[in-house]
Amino acid sequence: MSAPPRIVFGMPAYGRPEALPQVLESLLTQTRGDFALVIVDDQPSPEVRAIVDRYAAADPRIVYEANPSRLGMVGNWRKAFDRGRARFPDAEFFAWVSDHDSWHPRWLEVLVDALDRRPEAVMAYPQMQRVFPDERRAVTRLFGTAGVGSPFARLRLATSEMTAGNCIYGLFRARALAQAGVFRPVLMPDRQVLLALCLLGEFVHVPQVLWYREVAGVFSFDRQRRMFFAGRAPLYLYLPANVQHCAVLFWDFAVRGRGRPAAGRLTGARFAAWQLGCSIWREVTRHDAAWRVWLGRTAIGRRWLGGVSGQAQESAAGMAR
Amino acid sequence: MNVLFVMRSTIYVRNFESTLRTLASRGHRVHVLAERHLPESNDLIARLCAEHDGITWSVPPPVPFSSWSWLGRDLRRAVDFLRYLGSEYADAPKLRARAEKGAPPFVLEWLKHPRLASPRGRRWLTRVLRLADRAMPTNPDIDACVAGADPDLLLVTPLVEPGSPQAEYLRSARARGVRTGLCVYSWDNLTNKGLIHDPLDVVTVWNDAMRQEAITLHGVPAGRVVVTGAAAYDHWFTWKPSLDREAFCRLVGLRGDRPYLLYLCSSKFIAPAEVAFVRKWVTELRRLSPVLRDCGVLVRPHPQNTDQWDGVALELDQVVVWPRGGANPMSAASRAEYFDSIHHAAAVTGINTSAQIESAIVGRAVYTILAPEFAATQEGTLHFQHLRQTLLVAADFAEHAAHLEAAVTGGGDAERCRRFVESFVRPHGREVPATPALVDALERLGAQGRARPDRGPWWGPVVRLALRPIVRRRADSDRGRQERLAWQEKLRERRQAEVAHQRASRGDARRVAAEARDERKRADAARREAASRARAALEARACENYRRIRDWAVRLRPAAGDGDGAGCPRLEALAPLWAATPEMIATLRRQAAPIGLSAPDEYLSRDTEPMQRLKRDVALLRKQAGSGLFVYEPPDLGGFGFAEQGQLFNRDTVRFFSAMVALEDGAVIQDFRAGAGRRVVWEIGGGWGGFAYQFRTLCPDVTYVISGPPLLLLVSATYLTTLFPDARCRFEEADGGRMEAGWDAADFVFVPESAVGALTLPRLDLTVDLGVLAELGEARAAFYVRRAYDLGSRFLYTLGGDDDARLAERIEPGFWAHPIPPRRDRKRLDEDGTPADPPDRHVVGWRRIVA
Repeated sequence: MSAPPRIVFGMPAYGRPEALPQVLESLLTQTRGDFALVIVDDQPSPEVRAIVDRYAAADPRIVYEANPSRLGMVGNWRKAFDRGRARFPDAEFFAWVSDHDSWHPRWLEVLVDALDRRPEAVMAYPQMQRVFPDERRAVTRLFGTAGVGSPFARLRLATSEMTAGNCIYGLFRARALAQAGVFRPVLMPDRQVLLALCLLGEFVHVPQVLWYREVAGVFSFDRQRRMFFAGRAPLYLYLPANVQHCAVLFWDFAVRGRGRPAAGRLTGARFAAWQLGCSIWREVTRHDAAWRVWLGRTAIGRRWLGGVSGQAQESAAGMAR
Repeated sequence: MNVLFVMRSTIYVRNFESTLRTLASRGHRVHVLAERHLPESNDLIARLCAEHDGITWSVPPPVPFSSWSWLGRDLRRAVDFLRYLGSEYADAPKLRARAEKGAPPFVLEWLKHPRLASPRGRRWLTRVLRLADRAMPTNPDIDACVAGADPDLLLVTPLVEPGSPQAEYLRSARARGVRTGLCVYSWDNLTNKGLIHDPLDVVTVWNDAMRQEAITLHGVPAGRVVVTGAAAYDHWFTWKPSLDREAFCRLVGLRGDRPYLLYLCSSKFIAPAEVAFVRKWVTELRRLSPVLRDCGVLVRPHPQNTDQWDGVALELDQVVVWPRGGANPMSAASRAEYFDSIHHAAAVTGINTSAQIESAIVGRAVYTILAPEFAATQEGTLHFQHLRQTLLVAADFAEHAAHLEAAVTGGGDAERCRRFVESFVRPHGREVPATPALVDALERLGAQGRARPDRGPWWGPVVRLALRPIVRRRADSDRGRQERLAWQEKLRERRQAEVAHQRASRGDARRVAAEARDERKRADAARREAASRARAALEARACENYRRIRDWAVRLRPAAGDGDGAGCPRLEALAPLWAATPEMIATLRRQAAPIGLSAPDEYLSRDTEPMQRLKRDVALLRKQAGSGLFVYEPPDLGGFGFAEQGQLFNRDTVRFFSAMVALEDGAVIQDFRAGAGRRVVWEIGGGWGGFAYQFRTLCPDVTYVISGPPLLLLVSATYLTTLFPDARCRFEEADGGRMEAGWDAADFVFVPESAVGALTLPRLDLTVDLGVLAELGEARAAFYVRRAYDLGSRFLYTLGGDDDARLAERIEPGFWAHPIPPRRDRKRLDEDGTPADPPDRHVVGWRRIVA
């Protein structure tokens, strides 16, 4: 009998059969082989089934499960994690993988090595290439919290500099991810779980382009409310995202004490408050903040913002158009 | 770029000699501002100024006593002291005591309050002191000094002295919007000195461990810390012994027929009384080990701790203290002696000193013993933990004697030294020097242009107003008066020393210049002669290699059929090489120019448009990707191109460089440089061997397979075997070879193209196509892609002038194609105003499962 996998990939699939072969091959040809791939399909179709069966026949590391009814994105991501944990409880690392991006063959090898080298880290992720229909662009910006000992400093950095959409496709320590609450039914759940993870450890950014991300769709809260849930979105989703995040952090760390032993309840409460403070500050000061965009639409605002933020004005002009 | 490099004194030049030279040779102007120190360090900076027009030096301007500056220094001293009260220094009583000695009285007084002395109180106190320090005004004399120099970049070292007097230069620079940087002087600076108090645009450190220290202990944002390697030690990697062992032992007074142990003394702070210990060390070792009893011992006093050795006679047989007065390895002669003393030693021992790092670079095993008398400066210092990576640490003399005995009888642990050097001294790879990386980092910073002037916080004037009475009271106090008098005395002494120096130097200047000129001439002549001898030896070797390889290649011609390149004009131009004369082999690279991208004549003028573009391309790639992957064209065998710092580059060099950058952007080459074991690369075609030369230079642990027509293999094999004389080569016959066994014993494998179909490889990590597939017919190209797939190639890299889709289509039967985004020059625009694409596109293919 083969050894249990050290890593579990959880793939919340949703109707992309045309891209699936390349995704599966990019995962199955990883230079590290000690992983399992759990596919949870939220829009099962014969095409997807056929593709998965073709690869699963030759590779026993693939596990496929179709949802009897649509769970929505939050539910499906959560299920991918839960099923992976249930099947492979001893797996040390977990990573979500999409059904349309590509993973460099060295992705796993490099990131596992990064986490092995740094026991304080709970997540490692690489640089990425954005794949547009007619061109590709490497994103070389670096964000990591390696070496930052204080969880509050990590949280401040993450609030202001982290791109959650990239980090969420990193490699996580499964235990820390479970402790942080996995995916919660809030707006920007990826951001929320990453902020929670700041309490538990560091993020390592590996300066190698190891992930190729298909760029599609434009970010909007309406889209999230539509896509994330199977039925109607709960009413609290109309609250500001940072308030939702603060509430979840407070509930998890201050009330339920899930941050222990790394952080007690009091620290958890401070952490939640600090998150709210930092995110408000970020919203106020960022160049494309909503208030700047709004102000940029007025004549007085344009004059006042003149030297402050050309970009905000551009955003405002774009929105006005 | 105009750089103002503020050093505490000329002694600090030693660790930045190569950095200053490289900056100057890249056309930057560097003005060093440093107090005079030891004569040899003054000589070093004077020599640099004489050798490079771009380097100048002056002593800092005399700055009158300022009550605000004094307060600022005291505030920073207080913060520095508070740092040592933290838990990380709990086991460092000596460091703590030293900090306490320099702490201002007010902070010691405040700490008598239990609340302030608690960890939380200290944190609060630190914050308050820092805020007050931030409110200090800039010093007008230093402002004037910085304004006078008008630098684009202000660098400081060491900065972390107690009270950080150099912080005032940083503040004056920031007030003018000048970019600022700290070049960390040495490996212990971030743990056992003061703190970095001011924001900096860049902090250059040697390695990842120091990067962590900068981030965690000094609060420098991670994005501003650049790991460069130890530029100060670059030169040790190229030294060769100047004397053989016999001669060296004779020189120092040891017996040449016996091994000797080298004991490297430590600084005054680490080991203030080391003589008694050395005596005990020798006696104990000789008592415990018969092997060590026969060994000689060479003791090298620390250059700044020689007083204790004055008149000391150890009176032990075969124990020599040399050189008695210590010698700072700054000149070529003192460095040669220093290198020889390490190189010829059987093992090296010391308490806690930088010389142990230098020994590891030379490859000598380094040992220490945890001596109770030095507990506070071994385990009691944080930087000793770095040394533990390379040191074999013994708890007592018995264990220490066993370590040394093993070293003397069986050689040292070279692997341990190598690992340490690769992690601590050259973190980007043993073959990658640190100086270019450091200079690249500074150039990148300089290229950012001026920052927004930072004249301190907006609330600064309010705080200063509140502090004004305190400043006045302090200035009028006894301590203030003493401080002022001491300052004035120091200024007076400095003025007198300057006057005396100027008088002496006026008389000496001509003599010194003449001596330097003569010395330069002698060195040049010696260098020329050595180079000429080396060139002759290399050419003889090339001829010998050529004859041997031709015998092999001739045998392949019938099988190859068109092995002479019939039908391919570029290959036909090489046909005379089947019967090459020694002169042709001596210029093989030039003879092979028809299969490269350019001819030697193109590089006669630097001013043509294509050549200017080439230079821009190099500059752009180096700016965007760094110089770590840039390998110059070797001048041997008729290498040609533009000369830069005495090194050559041409269009082939740049094309190969862009290929390396693409392989890095595609996250492929990192695996070959990570030291994770031997890898196999197959290059289709191989050209004249230029890419193989670059690849092997960057990734030495590789078996590099080249396939091609016999004539091309004759060229590339002759070229590569000559430039890598120690490489192990394998020449396959026409029926192909099976490489399952002993594949890792070959560095280069040359395979005739007729044998590619029959070739088997134990593994294949990367297949490289530098445009050859595009020149072949479709069927032939498909055959090569299929072979790469069948041989198990994990990646296939292809380059060419076609668009991404065409390149991808060619390799997609076996590989998922991933185009690498081109590195564009934003200043070079197409007709439609968008940045122009570079001439080559790069695609990395990932092996498919279902091909």
